[in-house]
Amino acid sequence: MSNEMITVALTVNGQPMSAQAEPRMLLADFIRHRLRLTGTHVGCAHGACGACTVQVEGEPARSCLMFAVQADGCAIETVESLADDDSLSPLQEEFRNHHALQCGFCTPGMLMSAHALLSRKRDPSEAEIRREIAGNLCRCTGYNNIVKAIQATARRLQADPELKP
Amino acid sequence: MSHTKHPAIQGRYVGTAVPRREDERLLRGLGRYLDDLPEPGGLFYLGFLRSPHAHARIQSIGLDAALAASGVHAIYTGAMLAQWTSPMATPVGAQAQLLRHNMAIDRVRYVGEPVAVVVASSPYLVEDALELIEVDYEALPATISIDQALQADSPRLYDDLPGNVVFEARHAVPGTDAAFEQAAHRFSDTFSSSRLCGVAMETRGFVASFDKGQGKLTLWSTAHLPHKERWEVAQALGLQEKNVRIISPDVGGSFGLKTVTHPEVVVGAAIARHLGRPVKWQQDRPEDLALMHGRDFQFHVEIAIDDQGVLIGVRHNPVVNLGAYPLWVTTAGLDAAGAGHHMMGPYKVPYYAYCARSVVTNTAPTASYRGVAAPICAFAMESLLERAADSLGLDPIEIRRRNLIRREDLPYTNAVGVTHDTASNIECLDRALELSSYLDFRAQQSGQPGEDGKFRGMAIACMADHTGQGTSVTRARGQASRWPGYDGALVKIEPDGKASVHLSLASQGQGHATVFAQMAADQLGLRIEDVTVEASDTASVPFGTGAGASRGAVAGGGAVIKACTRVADKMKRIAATLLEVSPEDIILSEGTASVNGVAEMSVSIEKIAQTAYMIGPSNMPQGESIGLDAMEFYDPPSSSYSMACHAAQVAVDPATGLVTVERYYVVHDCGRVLNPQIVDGQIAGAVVQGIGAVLMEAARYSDEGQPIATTLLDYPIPTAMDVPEIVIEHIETPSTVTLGGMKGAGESGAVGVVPALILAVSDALSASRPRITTMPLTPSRMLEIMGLDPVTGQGLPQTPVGVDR
Amino acid sequence: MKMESEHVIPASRARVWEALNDIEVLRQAIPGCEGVERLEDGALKARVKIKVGPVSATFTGRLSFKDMDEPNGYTLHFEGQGGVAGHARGQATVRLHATGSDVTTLAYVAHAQIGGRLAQVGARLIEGVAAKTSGLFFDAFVGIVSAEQSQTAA
Repeated sequence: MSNEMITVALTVNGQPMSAQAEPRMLLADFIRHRLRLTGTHVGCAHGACGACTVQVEGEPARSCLMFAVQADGCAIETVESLADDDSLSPLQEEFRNHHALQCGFCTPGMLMSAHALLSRKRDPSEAEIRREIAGNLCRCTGYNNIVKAIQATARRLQADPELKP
Repeated sequence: MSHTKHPAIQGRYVGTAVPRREDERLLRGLGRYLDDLPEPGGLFYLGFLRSPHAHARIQSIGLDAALAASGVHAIYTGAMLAQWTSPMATPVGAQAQLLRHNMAIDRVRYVGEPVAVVVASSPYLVEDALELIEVDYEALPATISIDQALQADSPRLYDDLPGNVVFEARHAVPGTDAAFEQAAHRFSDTFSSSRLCGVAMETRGFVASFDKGQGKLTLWSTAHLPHKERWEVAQALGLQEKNVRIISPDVGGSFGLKTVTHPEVVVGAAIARHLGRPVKWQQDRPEDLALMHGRDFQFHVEIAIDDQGVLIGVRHNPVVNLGAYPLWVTTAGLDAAGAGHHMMGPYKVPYYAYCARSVVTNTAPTASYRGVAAPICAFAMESLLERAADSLGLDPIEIRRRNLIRREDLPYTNAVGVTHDTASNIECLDRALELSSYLDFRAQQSGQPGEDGKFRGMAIACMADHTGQGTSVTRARGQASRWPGYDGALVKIEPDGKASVHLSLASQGQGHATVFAQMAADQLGLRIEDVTVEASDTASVPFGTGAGASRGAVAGGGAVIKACTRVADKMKRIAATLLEVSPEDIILSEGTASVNGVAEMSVSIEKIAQTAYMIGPSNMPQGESIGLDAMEFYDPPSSSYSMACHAAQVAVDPATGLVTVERYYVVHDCGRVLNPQIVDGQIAGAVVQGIGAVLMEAARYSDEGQPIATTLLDYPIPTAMDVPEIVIEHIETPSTVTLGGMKGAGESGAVGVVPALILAVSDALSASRPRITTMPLTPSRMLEIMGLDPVTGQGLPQTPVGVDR
Repeated sequence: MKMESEHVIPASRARVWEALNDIEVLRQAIPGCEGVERLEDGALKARVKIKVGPVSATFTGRLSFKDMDEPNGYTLHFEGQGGVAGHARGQATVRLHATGSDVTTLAYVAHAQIGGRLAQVGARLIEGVAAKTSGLFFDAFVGIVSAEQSQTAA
């Protein structure tokens, strides 16, 4: 296996960034340990739990199933992109209002999956929401408060066409 | 001994759904879980080579190729580690001790036991080097199941022990056997759980750093019980407890599995000390699924009942599979003794006897998983009561009514000597029946195929959980030592008038930073924004037991009440002096001390604090000490019973065997509800873990002792697609014995869900009256129960319908 | 894990027996085999590279022959270790029946126990891989034996 370092240049949360990576380095490890954005979590490293979900070119993707070099040139959004300095995003606010997190470890991935859904569709049905987050495992909440938080965000999005999730 | 009176907790925050104060940073991705912490300079990463054999002798370990690999700094074997650490010793019986070395030396006893540890400069290079270590094993015959372990001629795990039974506790109310002989009816069966994995979303891990100059060890660890881990690591390394500091940062769930100190943390601490360099280890998910197990039980239970359906007695022989080593230093009987303690649940049982045992097997060591023994106790009792009702021609609800402890029975002291403080069992049952329309459903739909071809069923489960146990109970259960039973709080108001609460309980997601801030803010008269809760660093928090066994709100809450009361009383005395009134007339609220009824006479808490620290112009009252803080401990009395009635509706698809949970209700009584949103979150989360336990989860072993569910594809847990709405209501019967009236709420969801779901499945198949005694009820298992071949879907003529194998 | 199969080989029983005991034939026929040598006690030491799903490893193993019953068959005991990938051990009973002058039916029943990552990660894949590997072995084995047969005939 080649240990030769490759420069990976990409846009993360709107900022151009670049860092060195071995060819085998996972995108999740690259984001967390090279770029020091530790909001993205690794729960299983085999693509089953969804904690490491980020958006690659607007689509949710598991950063433990991608190599960093595959993301070269891509635009990536992580959980750190959702809030601004002053306030949480509507989706984050509704997660807090609905007690949609307990230990919080799965939350960044859950938010990124839900955000991708709401960016694509502002009025998803409950069944669509459940299907969309079925690949994000949570062991604490039992999911219903997460579903309610996403529904509440959807209601706000429908009431205000300018609002972003 | 203070003579302070503790007012009933009340105020602006307690009892309301204050949004969680920890959420904003977690939602922003600013949580600090172990792997998110900035890494110290000079850090090495560890990885463990683990036994691929369930039972084997180590013949040789070849390290040369691995030592030569890129980035490898050192590799240590169990023999090397044994020079630096002492083994964990668990008493077995009166004389013997069972020793667990921190890594295997000459013999491995389960798949996954550490054999060597690689120290390298990156986690990737650690994995490379692990591939290059060559170990020769001589395989030995293995003992895997409880049944095998109980056989006298099964392979023994320990040459110096007489067998594989390492814990036995007996208890009998005199006359129990005679009462059974004379009883009109007896019903018995053997109920088992499947071995479960906790699947906390964050796996465990640590960073260990040793300061050679000061001889001090700092461990950032996912420890659920930091003070216990501090002691265990100090013991193993021969350090003084004060020189070991455990910091548990944000911890991504535990559910009991992180309460134990596993050998890796001791190994890491020893290597950090040896090398003088920090080391880090994070378990990967396959390791987690192969190693972090609990609830491997087989309970034989018998009930005796009179002609009226009234319980005469319960006898049982619970057996717990500990795996290869006990994980609690002081006992091999945590779950087994728990079964002895919990089997009676919410029922009046005059005659009672048990013989509880723990066995060792060549499987991963097990820890207590949410609910400990109680879920399978409730499964057994509720199942046998329904069978008795069926046999006597009684309604299944009526037989429960005839046996539940009622308010008028209080104080009721049960057969193991624990007194029930409250008993809203009947009220919970009645409300659950009403809320769930149970009676209408049973009359119209039970066991009938619906238009979609599915069979539907519904069931009720009553449970009572002995929560918030103090030292008197832990001592009686033989698990004292480093699980003492009390907890501590240090409450400090700084000179700027803002408060911090330092708690002996670490949180793994339960919302401590919110709930205990609510309590402190109300008692200190501060805005909640001005109160923080610190609970993660043994260097700064009082000694205590820690969260677990549904005790946080009771023990931690009591300590917060006591400490805040002292600080509030001092503030009132200072304010009274400043305002020239009596302390009894002072009210603390919104950051201000004011005179009752004369709101314009007031002084800010900031000014009171400056007075207390003597940094303002005002003087303290005569005789007051400097500062504004108090540390208090609260040792709960023996008994505060939470209770609940669960109601579940399921659908069984006869074509696929798939069980769907369609409706779920919990009527719950945990006394004073501090934050309804957080309590409901605890209950709902526990119910969904129970859906997993009953319908899908099993940490299976092959006959040779190979764990065969080590990915989340082989060990599925519930997803958002698998859960119905969970309707939760509360009946608030404050405990008559705990400070503040709180009772525990962390586990009762996990206890009631097992019998509720399984009996609902039985009800759905009521035409064939299946007696279900095992889980999980996977689709293939359901087809077997329905007498269908899981592969072809055809009938299995040889399978007697209604008999569970 | 139990495997059972029958193969019809276009060669005489004596020739099949000989080939089954010829380490060069085995080396060529065993998929992924990197080397076979005969030990002093008559057992074989083999290095075999295998891949089961995400797990690939080089196994070093020992094969010993029991119950030699020339030319009717033998029992093969095997035990191999592949580092963190795991280990395998078991036995295979091989029987040869002459179903014609130049046709032999080889029947075997194998029992294997596997452990380590191979068993954990590969549990769902291992039977398929084992069947495929066994198929590849016999394809190659038949190829070698029948090629020799036709050479001899020529």
